Amino acid sequence: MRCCKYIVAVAVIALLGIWGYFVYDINDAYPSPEEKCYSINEEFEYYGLNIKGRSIELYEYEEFAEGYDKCEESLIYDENKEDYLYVVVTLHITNMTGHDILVNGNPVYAWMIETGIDANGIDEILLEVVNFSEDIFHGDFEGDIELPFKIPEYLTEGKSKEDILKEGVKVIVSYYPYKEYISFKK
Amino acid sequence: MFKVELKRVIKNPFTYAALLAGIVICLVEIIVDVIPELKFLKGRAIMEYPDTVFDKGMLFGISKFQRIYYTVIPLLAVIPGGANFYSDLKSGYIRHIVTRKNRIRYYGASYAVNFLTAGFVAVIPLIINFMICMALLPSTLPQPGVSRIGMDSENMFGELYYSMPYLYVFVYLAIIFVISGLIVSFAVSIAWVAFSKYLVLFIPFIIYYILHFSFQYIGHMEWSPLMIIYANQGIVPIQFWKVCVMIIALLSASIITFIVGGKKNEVL
Repeated sequence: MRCCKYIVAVAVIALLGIWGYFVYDINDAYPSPEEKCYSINEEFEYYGLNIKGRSIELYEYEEFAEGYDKCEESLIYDENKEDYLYVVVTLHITNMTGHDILVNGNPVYAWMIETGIDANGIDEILLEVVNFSEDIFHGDFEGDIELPFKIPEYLTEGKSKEDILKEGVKVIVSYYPYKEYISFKK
Repeated sequence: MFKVELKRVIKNPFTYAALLAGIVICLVEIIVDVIPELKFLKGRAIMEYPDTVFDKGMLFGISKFQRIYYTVIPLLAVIPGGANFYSDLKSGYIRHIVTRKNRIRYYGASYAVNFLTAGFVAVIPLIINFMICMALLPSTLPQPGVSRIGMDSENMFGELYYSMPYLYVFVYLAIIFVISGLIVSFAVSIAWVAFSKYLVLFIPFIIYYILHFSFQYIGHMEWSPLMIIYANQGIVPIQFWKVCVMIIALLSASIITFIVGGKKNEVL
């Protein structure tokens, strides 16, 4: 009986050892991402583009519709359009490569914003509203573009726009192996 | 008294059968749902992020095996000690005990042992599943934008999930432990009035599902114990105060039923 207990104990320790090795190995291969934070007007390179975060604006639906002519037309079928907070991020982009870069082939479209632990991607319909119609950053492109996002109001309940900006909004450029983001904080 | 009751449960072969059944479901989930997904370990899209242990498995994944397991938790957890009190009652053993020992201690021990074993039977398979997932998937910190389970500020302990996910896992296992234990406690509470051992064994499952369908019917699924124990809070966001209220309500209901049943049977 004692021998049996001894064998079981050895087997359990061996199993835990193997388990520990696997846990170590997988976490060694995929460590948590290091953060790279870019502040407003700080330049960084991204797939051949030189990018600077210029500004961020938060709008209620009425303010957004007032500021952007195409808004009402583009969101005419969106019954819940008033239940969102609209976020417009202005970036200054310079094409450093000298040749044309396709926007769809460049993951600017995949960028996201994070407000606290809430995240949202770029809204494609809103791209039309903010007149972002360029499909190509030409070889000599240099200028400002606006990227539109929206945040459901239930996630910002009880917070004013100032509160949200005080807490900070992150525009996430990449998640792995580095978490790179432009930080907008007032 | 507590030790005696605990030994009865530990020596009960059905305790291990219930545990084994739970572990088998959890292992099959790994084989069917986790291992085939390992090819996506490096990420799936332009915003690449590896699948993590906090996205998959019985706690965080979304699979039929997870649904099966969460459905049968009361049936498995009641097996070790759920019917012991009923058997004592029907065999007359309870009269033998209450004449020699402090009966309140005996009732307390029966309730506590049933609660604890139910909790352990519910969470041990989940812990094994999570440990295997830890060996297969990285524990990389989950990120809001690429989280597979879409946890946000509306969810209970959302910030904890993103900042200290292991603590979130621990807290959620504790919630599953307590809810399962309390649901299965009704097997002891109802033993006084039960006419069959099978009724005792099925009553936690029936209560679990009556509560679930009632809350679903009135459109408040976040109160359902079945929804509360999903760590991914996938269908409805859960609020902590509602979990606390549900725990207090289940505890009170099972204790009151136990006392009222006992008084009516003139044994207590």
